[in-house]
Parts: sequence; C-alpha cells; structure tokens
Amino acid sequence: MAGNPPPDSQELEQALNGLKPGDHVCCIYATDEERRALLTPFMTRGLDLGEKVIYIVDVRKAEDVLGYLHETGVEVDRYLKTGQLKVRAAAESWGRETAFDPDGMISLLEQETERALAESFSALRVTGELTWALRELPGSNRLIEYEAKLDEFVSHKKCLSLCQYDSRRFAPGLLLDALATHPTAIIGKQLFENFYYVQPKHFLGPDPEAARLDNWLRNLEGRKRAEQALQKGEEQFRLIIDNLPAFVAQVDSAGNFRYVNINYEIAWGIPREQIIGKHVEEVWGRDGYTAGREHIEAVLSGKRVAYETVFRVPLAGERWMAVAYVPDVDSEGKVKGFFAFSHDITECKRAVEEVKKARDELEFRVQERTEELSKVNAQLRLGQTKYRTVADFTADWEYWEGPDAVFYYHSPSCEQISGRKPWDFLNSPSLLHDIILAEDRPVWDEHYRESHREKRPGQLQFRIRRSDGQIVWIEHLCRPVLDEQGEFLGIRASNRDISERKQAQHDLESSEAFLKTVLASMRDHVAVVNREGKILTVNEAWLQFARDNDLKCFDRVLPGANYLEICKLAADQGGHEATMAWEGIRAVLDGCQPQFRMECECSSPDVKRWFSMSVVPLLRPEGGVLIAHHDITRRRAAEEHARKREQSLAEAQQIAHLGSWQWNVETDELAWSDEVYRIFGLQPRQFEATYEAFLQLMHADDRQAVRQAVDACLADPGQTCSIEHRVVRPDGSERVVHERGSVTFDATGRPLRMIGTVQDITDRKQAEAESRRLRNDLAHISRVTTLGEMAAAIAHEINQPLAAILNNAQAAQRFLAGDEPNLKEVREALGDIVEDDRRAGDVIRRVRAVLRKEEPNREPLDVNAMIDEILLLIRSELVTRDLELAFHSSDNLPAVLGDRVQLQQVALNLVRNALEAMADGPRSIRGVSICTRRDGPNIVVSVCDAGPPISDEALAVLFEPFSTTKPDGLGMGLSISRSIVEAHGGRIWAERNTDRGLTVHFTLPCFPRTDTTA
Amino acid sequence: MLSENGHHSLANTPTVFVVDDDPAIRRSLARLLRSSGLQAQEFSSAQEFLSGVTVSGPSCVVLDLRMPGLTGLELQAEMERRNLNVPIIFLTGHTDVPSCAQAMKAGALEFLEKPLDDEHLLEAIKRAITQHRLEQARQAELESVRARLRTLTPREYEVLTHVITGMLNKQIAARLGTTEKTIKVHRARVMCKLQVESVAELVRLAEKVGLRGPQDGPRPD
Repeated sequence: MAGNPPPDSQELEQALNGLKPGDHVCCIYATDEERRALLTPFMTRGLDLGEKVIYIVDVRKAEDVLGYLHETGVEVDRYLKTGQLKVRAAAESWGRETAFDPDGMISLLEQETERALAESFSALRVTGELTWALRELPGSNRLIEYEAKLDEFVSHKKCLSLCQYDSRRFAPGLLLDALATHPTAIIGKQLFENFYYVQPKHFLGPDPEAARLDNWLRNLEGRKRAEQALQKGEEQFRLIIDNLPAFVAQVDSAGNFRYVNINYEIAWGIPREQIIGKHVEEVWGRDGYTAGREHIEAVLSGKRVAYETVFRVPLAGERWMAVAYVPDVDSEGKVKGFFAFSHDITECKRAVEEVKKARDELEFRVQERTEELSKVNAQLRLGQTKYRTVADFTADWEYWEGPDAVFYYHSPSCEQISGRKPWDFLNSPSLLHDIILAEDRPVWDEHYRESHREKRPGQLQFRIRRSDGQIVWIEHLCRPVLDEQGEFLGIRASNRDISERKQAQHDLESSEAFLKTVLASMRDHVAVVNREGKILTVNEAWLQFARDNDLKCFDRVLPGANYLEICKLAADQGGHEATMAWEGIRAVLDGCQPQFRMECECSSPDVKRWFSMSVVPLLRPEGGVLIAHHDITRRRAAEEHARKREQSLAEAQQIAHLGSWQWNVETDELAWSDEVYRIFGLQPRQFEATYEAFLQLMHADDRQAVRQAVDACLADPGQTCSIEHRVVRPDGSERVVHERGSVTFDATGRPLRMIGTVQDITDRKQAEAESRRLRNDLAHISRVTTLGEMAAAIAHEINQPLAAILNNAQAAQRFLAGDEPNLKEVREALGDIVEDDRRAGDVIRRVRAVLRKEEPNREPLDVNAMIDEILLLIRSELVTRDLELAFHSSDNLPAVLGDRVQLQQVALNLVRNALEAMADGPRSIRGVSICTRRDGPNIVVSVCDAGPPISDEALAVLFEPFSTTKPDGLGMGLSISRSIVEAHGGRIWAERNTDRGLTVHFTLPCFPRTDTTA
Repeated sequence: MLSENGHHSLANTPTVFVVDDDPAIRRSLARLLRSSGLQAQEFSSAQEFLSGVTVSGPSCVVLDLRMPGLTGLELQAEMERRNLNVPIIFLTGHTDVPSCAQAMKAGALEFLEKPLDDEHLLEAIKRAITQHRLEQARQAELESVRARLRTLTPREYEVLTHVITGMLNKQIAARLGTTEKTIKVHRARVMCKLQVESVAELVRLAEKVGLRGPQDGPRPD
C-alpha cells in the first residue's frame, strides 16, 4: 500500500495489534478491500510476535493471500520454509470424504496448537474463510455449533482465531448466529466488544434461545444504564460548571457564544438560551467588547490569554474580573474558538483596598491626634508662662490655692512680705496658717472656711510674724476662680503689706493734712466723699488718672462734684456696674453696711483696665466715705489666662476624646472633666461621681480587673495604672476606653489622691477589629488559591495510597481464591489497607484544615512538627520539580502561641516561593533548605533558596501587596505572610545570600514568654 | 495462569523487579505479584536497582515514572546504555502523554496508570516475561554459535569466511595462495567443529552472528 494508511485503518491496525491468545474474533466484511485491510495486519502481527500462523483458504487461492503479505514486504517464503506460516485448504482440514465434524475440527486445532508450542512458537494464530459452509456440504449446518465450540476452545488455549464472514454471501440470520458466538467483532473497519455475544456454555446449553434473550435484555438494560450514567455525568459536569464561582463560556471563531454557564444568566438577567448564539459584543456591550477585543484576537490566533479588567455587568455594576481565554483547538490544530473563564475578584481587590485604607486611616488619626496634643501642650505652656510672668512682677503677695487645699502658686513678693520663699508655702500648705498671729487665727480660720464653702470674694486684715520676728499687717483680698461652667478651680488671693499704712493711720489719724499726705502717697486713686456724696478731696493718683485718660467726665470727678449723682446718672442709662456702685456707696454712707467692694471694668478703646473699688466709712462725726480705686488689671489678666488655660485644656480633651479626672482617696470625691462625662454618656453635674459610682458605669465583666489595677496602684508608690475597659452608657451602647492614672502619696506613704486620664478608643478598636477580619479573609482567600495551584500535587498524594489499597485488595482476593487461602498474606494486606487509608485520610484532613475558614485560634504549637506537616503536602511537588529540600530543625525548641493554619500558611508560602524561584535554575543547584533555631526570646524560621539574584528594587518592596515577580502571581502571599507574622508578635524579613538566592526569616515569640528585657 | 500447577521451582519462577519510591505502592505491588505466583524483588530507587539487580531467569521491571533522583525515563535510558535488556512496564500516577510517548518509543512494553487494574498489570507482566524468555533463548543460541566459532583456528575462520560466500575450494585456494586439498581439509574441520552438515547450514549459522564474507575481517575475540 502506498503512502500512509488513512486514520481509520490505522485505528483498526492498532485494535488488531491488541489481539492476543484467547481472542475469538468474528469479522464481517462487505468488500475484498475491507477483508484485505484487516487480514494483512492480523497475520503480519502474528509473525512478528513469534506465533505460528495458519490460514485456511476456501474461495481464494493460497497465492492470493500470500500475495497480500508479499506486497506489504513480508518475507513469505522464509516463513513458509521455517513453517511459521502455513496455508491449508478448508476441506483439507477436515477431510473431503467425511462430513464436517465440529469436534474433529476442534481436536485438529488442538493438535496444531500443541505442535506450534512444541516448535517453540508462543501461540497459534488461525484465520479462515467459512464460505464452505454455504455449499451445503454434509455437516456444514453445524457451523454455528463449531463456532461455539471454537469459542470455548480458544478461551483457555494459546490460540486465537479470526473468522471471516462475507456479508454479501451469508444470510443475515446466519450472520446473527455467528455474531452470538464471538466475544469480539470487526464490522467494516471497526472493532467492537460484541454486545450480542452469548457465552458458549449457555449457547451450547439446553436452551440457547432463552440464554440469548436473557443476554439481549441484559444488554438493553446495560445500555440504558450506560446512557443514564452518561447523561448523569453530563448533568454533573454542567452542575459543576454552573456552580463554579466563575463565568465560563465557549465562543466560536466568529465570536458567537456557543455555551455559557448559569452565572451569565444570573449576572445578565437573560436566559442563557438567549445568550447562546449571540455575538460577544451584543452581550458584553460595546465598551466591554472593545476592551476585550485585542485579547479575543490573540486567543483566536492560538495564544492563551490572561488579564484583569473592570467589567460592566448589568445586574452587578462594575466588577473587577480576572479573565483567562484558552483557545479551543480541533484535532488538526485549527482554532475553532475559545473558552473564556472569568472570575470576580472585586471582593478580593476591595478587601485589599480596605485593609490599606483602614491602616492609612488609623495612621492618619494617630498623627492628627498627636499633632493636636502637642499644639495644646504648647498653648498650655505658653499660658502658664504668661500667668507666671505677670504674677511674678506684682508687689503684692499673690497666691492661688486649689480646691484641694494645695497651693499652685505663690508670687516671689511673698519673700519680701513674709520673709519666706514661695516654695516654703508650696511645700507646706499649713505654713500660712502657722505664721498668722495666734490672736488673729480664729478670724482667719472662719474666713478661710467661709470663702471655701461659699466660694465668694472676701477681705480680711490680719497680722503675721515674719521670719525675722517682726509683725506685719496684711490686707488679704481673695476671690474664687471659676471656669465658664462655674466649676470651682480654687481661690486666688492677694496679700498686701499694710503695716506702714496701719502705722501711719494710727499716727496721723485725726490730721487732715496727714490724710492728704497719705492720700497723695497712695498709688490707688482715692477720693473722700461726704455724706451727700459730694467729692471733698481726691489724691494725686486720682487726678493723674483722670488727666491721663482724658475722661469726658473729667470735671465731674473733681472735688466739688457729686460722685453719687454721677453713679446714679450712669445707672439710669443702664450701666449695671454703676447701679452696683451707687447702691454700695449709698449703703456704706447710710451705715447699713460696714464697707463695700466691687471690681469693675474701666476700659478705654486702647487699653483694657480693671479696677477694684473699695468704699469704707470715715469714722468721724460728719460721716462720709473714702472711695479707693485699685488697679487690678494685671491680676485680672492673670485670671483670664488661667481661665483660658482651663478652657483650652477642656477643648483639647474633647478633641482627643481624652478626659481627665482626679480622685480624692480620703473623701472619695471624684472630679471629672467634661470630656469624661461625654465619654460616659452622662450630663455634667447630673451625676454624683464617686469611685463606686464609677465602677457601676463600666461593663460588669471588667469591674474586677479595674478594681485590681487601682488597688495595686494605691498599694505601691512606684506603680502607674494603665488599663482598658468597657463602659456601658445609659442608652445601653458600649464604649471601650483606656484609663491611665497615678497616685500621690503623703510623707507617711498614705495615698492622697489619684490623678488620671481616660481616652475613648472605641473607634480605634473597631478599626483594628475590622482590619483583623479583612486580614483573615484575605489570608483565607490566599490559602484557597495556593491549594488550587497545588491541586495536581495533592491529587497525586491521595492517588498513591488509593493505588496501594487497590493493589492490596486485589492481592487479598487472589490469596483467598486459592484452595488453601494464605491468611497471613491476607492479614498483612488488610493491615496495609488500613494504613494506606489513614495516609489518604491525613492528606484530605490537612487540605480541609487549610480550606477551613475560622476565627484564628491561638494554641501552643511545636514549630518543627508544624513544618513537618507542610512538607508532606509539598513532597509531591518536589519530585515533579526535581528539587531537593533539607529541613534542619533544632531540637528542644520551646512552643509558640499561634494559629496553626495561619502559621502553616506562612511556612507553605515561603517554601513554595523558594521552590518557584529555583524552577528554571541549573540542575546542579536544586536545593531549598529550611532551618529552625532559638534566638533569645524568639524562634527563628529561615527558608533559603538558591534562585536567581533579586534586584534592590524588588527586595525593597518584597512584602508590599501586589509586588510579584511571577507572571501569574497576585503578589499577596508575602504581604499576607507579613501581616500574619506581625499579628503573632513576630517579624519577617529577607536578605540576599552571599553566593546565590534569597533567605526569608521570620520570628515568633516563645511561649510561655521568656522575655529577658522585662 | 502461571500459578496453575503451583509447583514452580524458585529458580524457574519469573522475577518481577518493582522500582518505586513509595513504600506503600512497592509493598502492595509485590504482594499482588506474589498472589499470582510471581516472585517480586523491591527497589526503592533507580540507583538501588542499578547497583543491586541480578538478572538470571526470565524477568521484567515494573517502574514508577516519577521518582526522586533518577526518574523512570532516565533509568530506562541507563538500562539501555548498560545493555540490561529487561522489558519495562511503566506505572504513572496520572496520564502524561509526552512521557508515555517517550517511554514507548524507547521500547517500554506497557504504560499503566495508577490505580492499577490487576488483570491488566498481570497480563502485561506475562507478555513481558514471555518476551524476555524468547530474548534470552535467542541470546543463548547466539552464545553457543560464538563459542563454536571460537574453537576455529584463524586459518579455519578465514576459510569459513570464504566458504559462506559460495566460493569453490579451488577459488578459495587461489585467493589464499594454497592448494585445493588444504582448503578441503580446512572446510571439513570447520564443518565438524561447527557441527553442521551442509554449506546451507553453515551460511545460516554465520548469518546469526552477522558474518557474511571475508570483508567482515578476522574473528572478533
């Protein structure tokens, strides 16, 4: 035959080559061409295999058949000579004289077979023409019986037979019977397992027709079952495709959909029957098609394509898609179209984005808060400095006493007046009381109690003993300091040395001239007013002030003018202060009040000024009062500063959600800043703050811990308290706060008060929790992806034990089948089956563990065992990639506390990265090594490869999301590994090896912690 | 079935060499082979096989395609290089068409996928062993011819190379520069030593060792 045989005859040849002793084939042909096409290879194969071949001719001449062989290049003569090939006439084989006898024929074949084997051929191969049966020779009606017996014969002998039936000559009924006796049939150019075959024992049995019918029915049923299985298989296949979380489509070369899975139907809202047949552009829309067009052209030219794109899906909006096109190639290598797989990676992208955003947001907030706090601190420092500067320069002895009887400030002039330095008073709060003369102390004590209780301005004169023993007269003026909300911040007082005045007053009490001298010498503006309110005399300071300020009412405040009337006039015009002044002066003049004092603003457009006006009666028969204006602008300014300071502190607290509190341990008074109330969801001053009340506000589960922290603080002067707890607001909502506090102790070690801050960290906590959740999701996605990539390797790991199980089971069956079953072998086989099954189960369990999506669960773990487990998963991949892996584990490593799945994910990721890095390396360098060791309080795991060198740029961004050197990598692996390691309190980093490749290390703290730094 | 009579002596029992790195597979295969009356010998790697195998009776190799170190295909090439002509049946975990093609091209007898059907495997092993048995018989015959040829003197061998070309004694004598009678004596000795009775037999025998005439040179020793 010239040229290559056509494909179908090649197939037939292969099928024929598969025939072996024991086969009994019925061949039904319609043309000589067909007959020749199967006969030649059948015989040639037999000769090649070292079998003896016998051809039984009838219609054709022996020369014809030998001619066929000769033409295909078989050395016919040689084979005839060696006796390996024999041609016999049909009639000769059973004798011309006698009738055809099936049994005789079978015994003839038996002899031939034995002879062939004796001649050291491996089998006997027979083929024959059965046309003689058509000539109605005696016994030829027993053809079918013969075939059945032949079938029985070959089935257990070293013999195979090909029986030739010319379909043009044999009647269909006979052909059907012939078919029933051959397990294999060749019709035309195809080889079939014969459906219609009936085993010889049935065929030759008492009721062959019944056996045949039974056989047919079984066949029908079997076919039905096969069809159903096929149908079910296809259904399952479609179900799987439909349930893939991806869009799967088949598109023909014209760009029309041939198949789409259910996801298209869901996403586009169109039944898929309507999508199928449509052009891609019609379904995706013009934009979608334009974006994908170059890729479609690429895939139609036979390339595989993968890319990511934003895709507009009608029912889902814009989605990020990872798209892959695979060309659909027919058997001749022509592209018929392509398969499109797209899966939605929007959530993945979004999750990554969210994590980044959450991190940025947190960072931004922390930065913002830090800035605000430092600004506020700067303001505070400035305010305090200013106040001090002002107060430091007054001649009066100024001081500020807090609500808790502690001095905040004493001006330096206290030294001039009392002979004691400011810090003497600051260090010893009782010193002021102690230096007051014993006779004056009761008055002082009463004044002190009253001014603290009533929080009202007060005035008092008393004497103190200076450090040098001299007695000094003090004029004491005090007023409460309140903030905007009226909160009592303490007492501000001014002590003036009035000894000289007292002395002068005493000496020159009744002298008008003396009075004038006194008045003139005073820095205060002073006027003497008679009973009617008329100004009798003023001092130089009064005049000077009037001149300096060019008062419009200058002439009205000069002697002769009526001061009361001036005040009345101003009061009638609505001046509130003027009204108070008029009423006060009136009261003193009338003797209703021993004295009057007020502070009033007396500002000009340019200068802010405050005066304290005091009105005292003149102790003389004609009556009258002395009015003195004392400039208190500087003091007021200092007060203003202090007030502003308080205010900005409050603002700062509000901005930072940071409140402050102070707890008097002895009295159990708890003072809260406004922000604390806001954080606790309470109205300021509607809540009686005590320690117990505070404990009631917090979450019941946290109370014990807070109480313990506070007790520890109270017991130990070195201790500061820092604790997080939850607060339940009256509306039921929960906040998380961070409390920090420290205790002040007195000299005897008794706790006095505790001061602290409370910060609302709920938002930060929520952001952290959210970020943690997203990180876990991402880690899970990444694990699933990794397993997908490893699917083939894992399948092999499962297939191995399954193969062993099958071998063992089949071996056990054989051992049991014998007459004396080898029970020892069977027992061992069963033992191995159990072991192999366990091994397959282990792989499945490990895969399942990786796929599981659970909240991370911390438990003590053995790092070495953990890595051993992963190596089982990776083993098959090592063989495939032809790589070696060495695991150098340190003995006696302490445990670490962590989530097994996540930490294994890190190790798996690093190992697989290392393997991939070496994929294209030279064969001589094929080693990856893993090493575990102890380093101080940590365990270090190092994964070292010998891959190609990595650039500085790539090394710098190695752990950043989306940085990858792999063509199909997402670049999330190392970034996720880093977040996992850091969440476990460890660190991960990479360094270049001195010779080749990269080593990635990560640390995990030992458990229990063995921190030596604490 | 090979275990039919159950009276095979150990030496005649065909041996199957099982080379697989997976101990579970190896053990189970060996057991399956024992259950069919075959003798199995296990090797955990290609290297172990190469250094430890001794082929005496008819045998075949059941070889895992994927192994660490030398792979199945590499072992096949190495066996070819070492003239270790034992038929090979490959086992593989999954269909790997290129490897299959390569293995078959290099003369592998069969390529089977795990998990194995025992009938298929045993059938393949039976064929492999038959093939090896024939091959060994052929080798033995060849060796016996070579042994007989070695008994010839160089001169007798030279005469033989001429006789098989069909030359007459007279022509050979002329060619070798001696008398027809001498050649006749040589020819008789050659026939006797090689235990043949006709020139035709002599030609067939010479053909078996690839000897066709004086152009093939002196006897290779």
